[in-house]
Amino acid sequence: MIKMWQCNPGAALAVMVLLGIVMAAIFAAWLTPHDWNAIGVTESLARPSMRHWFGADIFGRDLLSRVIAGGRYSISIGLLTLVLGLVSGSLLGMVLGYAGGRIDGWGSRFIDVMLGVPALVIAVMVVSIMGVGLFNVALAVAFAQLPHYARILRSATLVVRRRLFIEAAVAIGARSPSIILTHILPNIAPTLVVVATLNLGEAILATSTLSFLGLGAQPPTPEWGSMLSDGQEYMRYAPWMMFFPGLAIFLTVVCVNLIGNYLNQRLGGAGRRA
Amino acid sequence: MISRRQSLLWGAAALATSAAPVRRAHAAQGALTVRYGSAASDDHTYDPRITMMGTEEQIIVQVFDRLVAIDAANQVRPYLAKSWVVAEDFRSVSLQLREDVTFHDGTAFDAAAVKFTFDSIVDPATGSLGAIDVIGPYAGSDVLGSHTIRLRYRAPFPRMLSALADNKASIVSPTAARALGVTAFGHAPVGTGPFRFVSWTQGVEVVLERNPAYHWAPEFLPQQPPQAERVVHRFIPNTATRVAALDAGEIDICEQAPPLDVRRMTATPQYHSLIGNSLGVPYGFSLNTSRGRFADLAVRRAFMQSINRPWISDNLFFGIVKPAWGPLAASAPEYWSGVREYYPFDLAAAARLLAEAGWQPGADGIRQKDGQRLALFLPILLEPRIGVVLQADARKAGFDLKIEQVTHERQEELIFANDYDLLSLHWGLNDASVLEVPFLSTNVPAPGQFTFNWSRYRSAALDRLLRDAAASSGAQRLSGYAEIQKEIMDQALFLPIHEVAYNVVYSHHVAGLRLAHGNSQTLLAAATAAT
Amino acid sequence: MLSYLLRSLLRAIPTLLVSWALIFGAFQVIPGDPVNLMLGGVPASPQVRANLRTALGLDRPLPERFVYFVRNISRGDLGTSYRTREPVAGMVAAQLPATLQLTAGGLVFGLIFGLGFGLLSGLKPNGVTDLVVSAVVLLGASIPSFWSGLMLIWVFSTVLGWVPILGQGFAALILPSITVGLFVVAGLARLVRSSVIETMGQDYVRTARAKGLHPARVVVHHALRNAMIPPITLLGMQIATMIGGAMVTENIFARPGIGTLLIQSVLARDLPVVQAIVVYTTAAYILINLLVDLLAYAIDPRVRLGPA
Repeated sequence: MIKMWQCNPGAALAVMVLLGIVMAAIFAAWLTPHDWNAIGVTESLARPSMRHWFGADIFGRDLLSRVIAGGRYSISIGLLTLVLGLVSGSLLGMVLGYAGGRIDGWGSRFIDVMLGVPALVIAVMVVSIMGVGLFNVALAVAFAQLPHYARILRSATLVVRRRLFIEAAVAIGARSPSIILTHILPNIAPTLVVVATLNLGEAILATSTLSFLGLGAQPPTPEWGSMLSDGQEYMRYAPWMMFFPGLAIFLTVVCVNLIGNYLNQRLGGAGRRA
Repeated sequence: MISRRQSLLWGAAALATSAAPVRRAHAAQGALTVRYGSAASDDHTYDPRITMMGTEEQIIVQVFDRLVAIDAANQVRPYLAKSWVVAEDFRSVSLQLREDVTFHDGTAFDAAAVKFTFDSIVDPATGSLGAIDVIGPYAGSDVLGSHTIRLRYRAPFPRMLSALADNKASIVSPTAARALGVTAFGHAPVGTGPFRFVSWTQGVEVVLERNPAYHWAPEFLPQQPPQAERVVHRFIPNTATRVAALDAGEIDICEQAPPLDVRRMTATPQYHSLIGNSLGVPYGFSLNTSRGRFADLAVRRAFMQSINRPWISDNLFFGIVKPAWGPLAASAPEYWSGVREYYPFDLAAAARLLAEAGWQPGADGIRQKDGQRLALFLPILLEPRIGVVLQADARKAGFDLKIEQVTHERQEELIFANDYDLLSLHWGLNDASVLEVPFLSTNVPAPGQFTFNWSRYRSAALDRLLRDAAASSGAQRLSGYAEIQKEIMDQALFLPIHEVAYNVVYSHHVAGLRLAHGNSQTLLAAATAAT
Repeated sequence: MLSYLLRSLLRAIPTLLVSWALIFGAFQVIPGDPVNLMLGGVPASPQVRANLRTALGLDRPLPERFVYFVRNISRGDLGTSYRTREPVAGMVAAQLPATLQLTAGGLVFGLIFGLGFGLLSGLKPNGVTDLVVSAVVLLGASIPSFWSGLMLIWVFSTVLGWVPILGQGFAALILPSITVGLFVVAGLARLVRSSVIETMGQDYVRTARAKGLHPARVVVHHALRNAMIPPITLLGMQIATMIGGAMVTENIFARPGIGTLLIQSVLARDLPVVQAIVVYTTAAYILINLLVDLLAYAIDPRVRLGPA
């Protein structure tokens, strides 16, 4: 940690801030000054004050409590999206990279096609099929980001595959799945880690965007994106409704990206985008 | 026409106020153009015979006239019809029509035009869904003279005159309607109104121009042709943009501004507002009596008592919109004041009712009975914010209310599957018979039939009351509807939340605006430039 | 050049067809009977429903319907909207110009600042400029577009009143373009920077410097062309992201456009419109990539000569 501070103070700061946000989210029930779903705690659209640092929304709910509690949803859904997308995308990428030939040909084409449609459009389409809700949003964004991971992991797999020890493994009769898991996976792990951290930020942004559009969190869930959407209407009279949730998303993503950049530098150029 | 003096004053006013960064797009030479900002993103048709959307009536009411009009005292007054005689059995009415009226395309207004209008409404080929309901059991009409007509009804229809005042019963030009067909006529409507239709750029704006021959307005309205040379009806569905347009002077009238903006703007002398409570069923929720927790009357009553309605009006609407206490708008003549006594906000009473019904408080604050949670599902389409308040309020009483924001299509799915406990509802109609829409047994939704009795309450007694009241008049009508409202409240079928308000905020440069009967449209015929 | 164009086109067509096949397939698995959706709850007799089914072609086998689908698209017929009963092609065409304006505006903003920042920091790596630019790039990549858009509106329209919200004019395009372009700036700047650094480190650049050529000439004449190639290939993907970003921006700034239409249609389960928009977006993306490929071909001799 000290070493990190010395060579990249930005990333070290980011780790601390992020840790703070995550801790606050986890311990929200004890930390928040008020119940974040209780309406009428103070008057509607109250300005930020000593009692209510972030002011109140149209229902008189304390905004500070909602922003703290919102971390739970925004961050966990972002993480879930990342994990789902990464696991499925990596599997696909590894299989394609290892298999080669016609499977790779068709798979790559499928990936190219999916990359051709804007991720948000794919996600919106998936939500239209499955219905609204935070979990569906996670699935949708994971599906939309899948080709991105698949492509990177495929290239990385192709590089590793050419190495001698793979040939050796094949020669002694190891079966493909075990080769993929025991030999290829550990070697592309650094790539995985870097890609993961670099994309966590995007996952959080994408899921909160869909929530903002009304396709994600349902009332009364205090998810940051949907809180921003609520605040839009009162921008002129209560800009704090819109300012603080957005700031929360922004800070979280900045920290994640800083850490991602740091890891990228440390773990070498293997994580550079294809 | 605007006099030179007026146009000079107008120019001076414009110069004086142009110090502020405001752009005025009025036509040159001081002619008055009234620019109305509509909340709709677009309309489908301006044919009164097939219109289904309230926003379309804002244009219809300027382009068309009706046989009779209803004044502020709820009295029926002559309009296109000079006089009438209603038959004793309420199955026909003879009307004497004005002889000095012409349509915008030059066709003379006469009995044949009236006959054409109503006959085409009931003709299945026209495809009418709204007007055909409004004109009741219309059977046909007899042309007794060039300007005398008798309308006949299959069944007694005591409120036939107020039905004839409805916007959907506007008289259309037979020449134009025949020549264009229904769809095209809806895009190029021809009536007798104070403004004639000029053009419609889909999704952008509709332009009307004054009808200089107009002098047949009802006697309680100004009799001259409109002062406004043109009306530009712009579609600005985004609320913030619409208000900003009024702020910037790009429109003169802004419809349905949010309460905070209304309050802010009318606090200055530069803006005025007109606010009216629309007639019909106020905004509220139908409670599904056919399944789930709400099958128990006590649970319904407890729920209604756990909602703090004045709080909603004060905090979400800043007092601009009033709480509603019954299934009928307070501005309706048939409104029964007794509904005010029902289900005041009282958590203790709600707790008592629930306890008596066997629902005991659970560990997480949600009541339980026989291992079941007191859970409710509200797929909410209209005004989802109210759902948030309901959720929070109901929780304090021990209800676990789940909300899902839905679209029309999804709500329909849930309606047909009977998979909901509450649904948001509001219905605009200028007559008390609107109560049939959500409460008549035959209006319970069934496969292939999308109707609005979402509380799914079937009672032959209530049906009879509804039909009798609709067919009655005078004191009998008032008492009939009072009984109906009492029954609806006794059975806790509908949770009224707030009166539906229609508001327009307009620049102080325009005067002479008034709300149409029913308080859902603004009449522009008497608009003048204010100095 | 011509043969390259033809080859690229030939490669693009099967990709296009495959993508349309996938889209078509995806929409077949969507739950909900299209006939119900089309009727929109209006009561209809079984006969009317059967007629509608035949009219929509739903009683034909799947491959045949796909063929019709492709044929209709090539003729410009994208079906009829369930919601408005109007031809989808017309609806999309009506909304397209606004989105194109927005995308163009975002592209201009993104190119100017992305290239500018990337060059600035690439030419003087690890200097103060680099640090500042890197910070800006980080912020641009981390900021949620709906937040930046709303904040921009609040500051410049509500508080300062400098920029109008309403209207189709050029002034009203400024804020939305910035919102859409921010993400492009971030991605482009980063890539231009690393590409410039790499190019400037090449031998031929050092040679040019050693020859005593003016530094600016070195940059512009020798390095720039080659440095631009990776960013240009990225641009294609960035445009796809921008079209997605336009959805949110159109929502915030209440502008008409494809994005707004898409969301409206998704919420209303108006599948023909959703399908049409996805089809168009894919085709546009493939076309743009084609153009980008051609551009790379024109600029980079290595592409012309083929792989080593």
